[in-house]
Amino acid sequence: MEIGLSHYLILSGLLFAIGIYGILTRRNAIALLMCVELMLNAVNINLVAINRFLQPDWRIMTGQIFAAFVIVLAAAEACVGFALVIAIYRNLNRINVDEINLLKW
Amino acid sequence: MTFKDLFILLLGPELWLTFLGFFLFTLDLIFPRAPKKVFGLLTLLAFVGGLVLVAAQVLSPDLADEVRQAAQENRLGYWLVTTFSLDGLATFSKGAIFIGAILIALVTVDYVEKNLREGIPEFYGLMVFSVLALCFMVSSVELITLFLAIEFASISSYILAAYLRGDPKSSEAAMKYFLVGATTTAAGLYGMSLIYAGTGTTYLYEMTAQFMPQLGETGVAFSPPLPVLIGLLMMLATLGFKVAMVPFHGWCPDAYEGAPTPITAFLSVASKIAGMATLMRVFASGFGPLSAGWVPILAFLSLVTMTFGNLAALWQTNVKRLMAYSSISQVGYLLIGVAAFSPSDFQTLLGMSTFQGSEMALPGIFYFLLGYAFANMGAFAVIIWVENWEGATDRESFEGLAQRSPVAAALLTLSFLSLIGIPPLAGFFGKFFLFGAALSRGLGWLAIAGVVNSVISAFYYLEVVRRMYFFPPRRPERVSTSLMVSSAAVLGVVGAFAIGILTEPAYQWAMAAFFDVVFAPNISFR
Amino acid sequence: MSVGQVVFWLAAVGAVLGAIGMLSSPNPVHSALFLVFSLFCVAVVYLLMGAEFLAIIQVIVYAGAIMVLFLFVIMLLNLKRDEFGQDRLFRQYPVSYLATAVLGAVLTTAGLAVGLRFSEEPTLLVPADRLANLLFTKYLLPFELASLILLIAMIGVVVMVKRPRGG
Repeated sequence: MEIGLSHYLILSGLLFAIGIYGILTRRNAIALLMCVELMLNAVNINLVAINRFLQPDWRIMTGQIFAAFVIVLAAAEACVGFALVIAIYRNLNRINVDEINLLKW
Repeated sequence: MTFKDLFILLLGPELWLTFLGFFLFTLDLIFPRAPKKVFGLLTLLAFVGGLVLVAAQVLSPDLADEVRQAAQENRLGYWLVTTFSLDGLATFSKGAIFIGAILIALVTVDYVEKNLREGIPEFYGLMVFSVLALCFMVSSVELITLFLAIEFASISSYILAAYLRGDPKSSEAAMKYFLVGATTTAAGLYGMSLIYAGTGTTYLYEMTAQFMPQLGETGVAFSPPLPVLIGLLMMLATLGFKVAMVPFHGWCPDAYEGAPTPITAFLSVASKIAGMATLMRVFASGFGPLSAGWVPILAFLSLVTMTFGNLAALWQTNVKRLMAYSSISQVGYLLIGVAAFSPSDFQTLLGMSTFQGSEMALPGIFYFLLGYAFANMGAFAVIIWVENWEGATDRESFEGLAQRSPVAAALLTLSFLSLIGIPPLAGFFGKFFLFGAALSRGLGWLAIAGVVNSVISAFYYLEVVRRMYFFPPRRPERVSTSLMVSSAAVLGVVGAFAIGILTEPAYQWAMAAFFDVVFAPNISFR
Repeated sequence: MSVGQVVFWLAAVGAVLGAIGMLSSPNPVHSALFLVFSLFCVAVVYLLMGAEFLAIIQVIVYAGAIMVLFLFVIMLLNLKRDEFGQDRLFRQYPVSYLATAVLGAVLTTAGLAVGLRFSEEPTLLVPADRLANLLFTKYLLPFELASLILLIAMIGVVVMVKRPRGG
């Protein structure tokens, strides 16, 4: 079977769903960050695939440009996330999000 | 006008904030011994200057024509005209953001002196940069720019929320804020990619142009194609996170309670104005022709948001946390305005049908936002006033405030009355416009829910007022504060009064802002 | 099946298995390595679509920078297996399964609704200079915004993790 746009979109949908599942079930802040990275990658597959199949003219590269910016953002977000993890570890000595509960509903 | 003048006028506030942000970051390296107050005053200067520049844009008579002409003659770079718009929506929200930011800068200086030991120049620099991010957010008309601006604002907010280093609550607040933010960002990006798949472009107005012909034939809004609808809903996650809409509100109470109080004020005023403006730009303006798809969803979310916010606020004992739930419920009222959108508004805007200004809710949103900004800032200034003295923001700290500082108690009471919606304060007219629009658009149930919710909200606001006036003070001494904090509180309350009394001009301005929403970027894209 | 199809299926299955491995591994370092594997497979997918520049920066940024950061933080905090591998309370499970299933179904529907399009044109490797050209002309404003984001992220991280003076 030839590979079309939907194949890529479904692959990215699967990765995104796995990421969401991790976000909902994991309790460790670092595991959560990994899931976020996975979700951002799912987005990038989408963007590149749409660019490839809907705008095959290589002069229009909106999707690829978008994906490049998403990678930049992923890096910045990961840095800030790790800094927060370290800051919270210094203050509370733990990084499991359900044990971090000074603030209650 | 030469290109350079035009460029400076168009990007004035942004260039100015960038310059002062860098200046604040480097000033400390050059003069390590400079008194920290200087940084606060420079921040204040940055925001006042920004407001002046926005005023210059609004008052310069033929800026719009100049821009259009320059764009036609290809004198403006098309990187600018296709990603950046300076329509009424942008200028109005920038004005409101700067007004909020000035009041925030006024209350920050004392707070910083009391609570921060280190990183003070960076604190102010980051504040300037986060306002810069909000300016870009309300001005961007292209998804890539929009998403980067939103992230710029979010990342600087995470850092600012974590700024009380010794306080575990502050790190925890920032962590929760960050995790919700990162997840909703990923969801929003996925949504943007689906919208891109459905429309083949990232320019908001090019999408509008694609859907316009179908609207023109029938005059009835239609549901978007499935990928675009799913994409819009996922994008709502990002925008809903920015304005703290249920079900993306989870971070809000924790972040408000744990963050430094001026940053709480920033999140609840400046950040919310920008988020609301962006939401309107995307939904009402960009995807206006598709309103049949999103109006029912937003109406439902509006109901859930205000009811949840008000009911949860009833149980709060910490005033900062109470303000968090109160701001969630205010977003619920604002969403009534967005839900009361109908494609006939869109056609009115394009001159396709007769004027129906009185029915339109969107100018009401602007009006409500302005009044909300003033009243909320008045309340937060008093909260900081008390917090600087007492070191806490629980309800007990406010007991007997009327004896310890009658002015503070009166100002907080007036701010709360405006938030409840008592005439002649701004909150009343804001709600009046929004509920009225909902009624005229057949959303009577939503208007009734809004009124019921306002009554519920009176309970928790007035509970604080009751404690201030009828409880004995915990300690006898007076609560005094600096001139800056008290003037911020006075300015906030006076603003809420002024907008309430001058309803007509304020509403006209808001109306003008709305009318430019679709018109300004009348420039063909490549 | 052509070579391209075989590579696609290998990369796709690899990416999904890597993601599942990341979630199920109790060891934080293994988890991070599974993530790298998954992201590497994604880079292969980019290559299949002709996005060579993106494939390269994917490998450099993720494998080179972000992964090192992950491992660095895992070592720095001395993360234990049992701390890392645990899931949250059991009562959350049904909700998570449901939410994931619904989301997966919705996204799959969206993917199908966009249409199973094939491209007649052969996959072209997009020249990197074209991307650079666009970045500095059409997308100049987002480019500048991205630079500001990196700047504040840098300053913010330094401010957040710097040890207090005398503390």
